[in-house]
Amino acid sequence: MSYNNISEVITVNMGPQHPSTHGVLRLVVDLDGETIVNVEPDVGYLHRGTEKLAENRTYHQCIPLTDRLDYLSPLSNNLAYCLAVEKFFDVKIPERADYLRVILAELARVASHLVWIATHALDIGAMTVFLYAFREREEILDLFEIGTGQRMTSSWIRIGGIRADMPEEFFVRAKDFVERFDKNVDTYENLLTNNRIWKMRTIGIGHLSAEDVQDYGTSGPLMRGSGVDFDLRRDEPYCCYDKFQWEIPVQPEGDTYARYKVRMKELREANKIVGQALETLPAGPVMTDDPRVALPAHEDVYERMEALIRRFYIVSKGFKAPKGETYQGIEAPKGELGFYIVSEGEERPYRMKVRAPSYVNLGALNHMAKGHMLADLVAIIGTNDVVLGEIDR
Amino acid sequence: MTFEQLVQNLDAQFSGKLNCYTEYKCNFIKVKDASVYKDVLKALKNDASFLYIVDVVATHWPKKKEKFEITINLFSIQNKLRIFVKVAGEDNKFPSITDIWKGADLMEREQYDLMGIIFEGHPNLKRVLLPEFFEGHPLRKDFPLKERAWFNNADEQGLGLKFSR
Amino acid sequence: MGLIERKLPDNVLTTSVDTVINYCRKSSIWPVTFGLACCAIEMMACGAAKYDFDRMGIIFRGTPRQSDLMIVAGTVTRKMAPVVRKVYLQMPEPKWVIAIGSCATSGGIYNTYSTVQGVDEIIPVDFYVPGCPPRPEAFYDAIVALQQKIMTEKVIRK
Repeated sequence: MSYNNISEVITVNMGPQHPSTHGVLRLVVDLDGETIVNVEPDVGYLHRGTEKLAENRTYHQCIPLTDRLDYLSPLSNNLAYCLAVEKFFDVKIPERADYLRVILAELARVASHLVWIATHALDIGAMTVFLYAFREREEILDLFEIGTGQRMTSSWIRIGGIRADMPEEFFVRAKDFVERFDKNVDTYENLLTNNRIWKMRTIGIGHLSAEDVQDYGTSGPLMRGSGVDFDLRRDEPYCCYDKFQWEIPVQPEGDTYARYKVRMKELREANKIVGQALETLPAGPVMTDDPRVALPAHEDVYERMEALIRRFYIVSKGFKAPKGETYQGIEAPKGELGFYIVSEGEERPYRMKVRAPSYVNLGALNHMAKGHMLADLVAIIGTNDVVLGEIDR
Repeated sequence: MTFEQLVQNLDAQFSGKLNCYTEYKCNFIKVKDASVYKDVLKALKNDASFLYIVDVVATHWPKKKEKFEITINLFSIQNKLRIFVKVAGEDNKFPSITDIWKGADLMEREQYDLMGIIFEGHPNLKRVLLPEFFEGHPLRKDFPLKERAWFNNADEQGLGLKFSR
Repeated sequence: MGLIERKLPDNVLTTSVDTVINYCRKSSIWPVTFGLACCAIEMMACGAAKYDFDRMGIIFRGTPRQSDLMIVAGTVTRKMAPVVRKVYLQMPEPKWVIAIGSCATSGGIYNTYSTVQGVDEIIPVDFYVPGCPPRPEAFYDAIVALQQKIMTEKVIRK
């Protein structure tokens, strides 16, 4: 009798309290020996009822809820939500606000990818990258703090523009950061790209073909890592991305290593966009003067009765969106983040559906993990870049 | 292919059964006859290159005759076109589209969990976000936002948990 | 401490022993990584280079069996509540709990059908840190306050 003939599937529970599940993800793994037969994600340990809560909040009050979805890049979520609401009103956003939105969203992308590389490398066993990546992330959070007053959940992008202009120090330090950042990416690449252990742990792991990614609906780096040239910033343009010179990194291999390369290039490209936006930043207002959505300026409120009443009305009662349905998707760090809003002509959304990239990407996890070793599951979760706040909502 | 061309092609195939319109820069295809709903989706995937499924959304309209509405969000990477296919029904039963797009599996499960839509033909239709002992569907309009009485309904792990707030 | 725990009277010997034990405990607090939501990212930032919790003797552990502090960082939902309780029960004595952020202290903005309104409904909490999410400095403040509390505890004295 040989041991090879004995095949017995055992079920192993992973999470929700586990150091490498990036939050409270629970996986029920069926194993044959050490080989994965089936993975079933059990999510919902962070289900906070954001969508129900949004139906009971005015359009302005929903913005802080969006911050807490993908908490690695809160400003991208603000951007997607505000663009969706602005579609109802067809608001013209001032140019400077558009540029600042791009700067904030791309800095958020860098911050999010830095957490990804930190935790992904830490899971696979490279501790050093974690410390380096968080050093740079702290700089970005400091920038956010100078510009918006909060490190993470700043709710700075508002309907009709951004809350207020940034102080001069923000631009000085941001330029300084952009100049240095490419060298920092070189540091991470020196540590990982040709590292033999890293390559052994990532090449050929979690394969997705170009047909699979579209069938499963996975987006973002998972799609571009499988050779599908798709980026909403170019294919369904929003803000003013068409004014900058940048590339969309695509890798055809479709494994964990390819996605690593895509994200590393995205770090550089995002940095490039921020640099160009800072160089060509136009002057002007940062909030639209459209009276339907914008709060009157503080100076007006102190002097004019009408402005005071208008401000009081918008803050306490909210503004009414016209009847209808709309959707806006943006290229968030994790993939396509979209807000589908149904309005019944009231101050509150009738239904708000968040198209969370992490949740949809999780659907392909079983397909990616089948046939691999249990230890590779950690690499596959890392390359999926899941954020539980967004999955569970 | 633009949305107008797509509408022409579809009208030739399903004349009188679709209502196509553009609203707030979004293109909607409303399927009036629910029996051709899956044929429309298959035609969109196979003939019109809508390979990428973005989302499945369910909406509850308690005051209307057709109480539930499903919106399928599709994107064609080849044509850079986004469309929304809508279908409405009086009860909460709709055909599942997991056989057309595999990714619809998790999306439909979420809508079943939160909205109580029963997708017929779904291979694994069970709760995904809320625990198994939860009763009701929170995103329906008749479900109160602060309903926390169900917290004490079960003690899954026998830990003696009691919730008071 | 076993047999002599909380049995001996106050005197110069027992108070000295208590001080030494408490000093050791406060200088090597090992928290269990229990990140639930947004606050967990700030907790990671605390462990990383800039804020560097290691210099306070704080090393994050992946298992509750080696920990004496639980930092509940994030929203506790009804589905998660038994897990939180179970992890707490798995920790050996002495153990402390810090609730980080508005959600863990009171439910915060999530006054909804699935959120537990404060983690103190399921486990005893020593310190509450407000903020959404709190800054790493606030984490520090909670740790320092906890250290002061540990120094006042009685170990072998009555």
